[in-house]
Amino acid sequence: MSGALHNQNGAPTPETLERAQDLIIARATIGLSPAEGEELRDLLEAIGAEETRTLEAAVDATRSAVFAEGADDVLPSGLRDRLAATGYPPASNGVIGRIGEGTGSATPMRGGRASRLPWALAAAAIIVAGVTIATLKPWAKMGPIGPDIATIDRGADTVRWPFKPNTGEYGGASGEVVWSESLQRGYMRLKGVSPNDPKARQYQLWIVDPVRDTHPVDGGVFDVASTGEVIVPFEARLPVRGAAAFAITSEKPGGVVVSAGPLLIVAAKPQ
Amino acid sequence: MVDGDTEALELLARGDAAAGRVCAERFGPLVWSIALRMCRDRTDAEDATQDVFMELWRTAGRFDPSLSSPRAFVAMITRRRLIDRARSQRRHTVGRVPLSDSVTESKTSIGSPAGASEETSAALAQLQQLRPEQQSVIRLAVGESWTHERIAEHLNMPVGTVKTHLRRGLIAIREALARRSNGAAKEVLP
Repeated sequence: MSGALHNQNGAPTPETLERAQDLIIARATIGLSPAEGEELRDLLEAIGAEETRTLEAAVDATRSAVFAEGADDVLPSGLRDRLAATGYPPASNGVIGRIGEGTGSATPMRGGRASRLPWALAAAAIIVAGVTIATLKPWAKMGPIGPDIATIDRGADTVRWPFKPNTGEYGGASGEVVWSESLQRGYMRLKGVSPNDPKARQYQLWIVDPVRDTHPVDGGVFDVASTGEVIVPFEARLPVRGAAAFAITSEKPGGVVVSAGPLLIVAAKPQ
Repeated sequence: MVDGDTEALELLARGDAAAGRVCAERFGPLVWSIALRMCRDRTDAEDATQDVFMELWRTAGRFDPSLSSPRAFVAMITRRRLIDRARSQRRHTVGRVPLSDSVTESKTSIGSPAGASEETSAALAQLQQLRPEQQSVIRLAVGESWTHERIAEHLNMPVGTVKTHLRRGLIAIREALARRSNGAAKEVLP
């Protein structure tokens, strides 16, 4: 905008005021381009901060009004609590269970033919491509593992899928993932997985749920202390509606949002 | 001047431990309202709201107060994430109900929605007194974050007219809020 911003009395000209108002409204609704942002910064010196504050407040109140119109509910308190509990990036307390913390006796793994891994492979492609991956707040530390496992084992819809190594380096790895969609909880039973130094690398679980999203869901990080059988419980903080595969990667401490892969161990829904 | 909304986004960008709680209070209702309008049911809206908050953690560092207000930023992130999510769901769902595009229809309800703040109620009351074309423009611009050009095309009116309706309508709402505020102050003062 060219020309004088003020009239002879020092007040902003009507053109200045209208242009500034248009830009303030645009900033509060659709955002501004960098050039418009600069223009508004200059105009604000002419019209003062009060114009901005009151007009933005009007936009915010109007937005609330438009959304409230016909709405039949307010933010559910349970959802509010879950939102308040979210956090990012994964914190150091994101360890969901240290392998070897001791559990009941091992349940024999179910046999199973080698699964084709359509979604796991899709996940691998997504991960390698560096696409942003949906991430979760790392879980709080779980309670006693034994009762968790018993509860999950009794789930009406509990499934058990065998873990298969996906790289030669982890050729000796085996185990299973046990998952209950209704409980939104599960655990991994792993054997032959190389111990990690938590200060250098941590394992990270990914849940592939094509019903939910194209991006796998971050399942949290965990450590392995021995190559013996170890159990890691986990729970979904974002609802998982149709798990198709579970995959494990090795990442920097605390986990990552975008993984470069590779998938080390994968458990996929049998075809 | 840094307002509470801006401060909340800054907390998110810094990964502050209190950010989740602060932002749930400040932006939770806004995200939830948009999710309710864009999702197929409440369960889906709850999932979506959580998805959006995770997206906010990732993107809060990109917030630039010179280019958008905090709530406009949150609303834009919310819409973008919900649209991505809907596209993803469409790929996996047969017969999904399409998102409504009937936002310009005037709502028949009059009065204050349950749970709305006094300020929201005052804004809604004034909005409903505006001319129908002004209401439509405001609903699309403020409620749906449509550009002026898109609104102009949708409502078959010049872009300049869209801007004028928007500006005058929002100024009228601002004046209504000021009257309410002044009235409240008089009640409190001796």
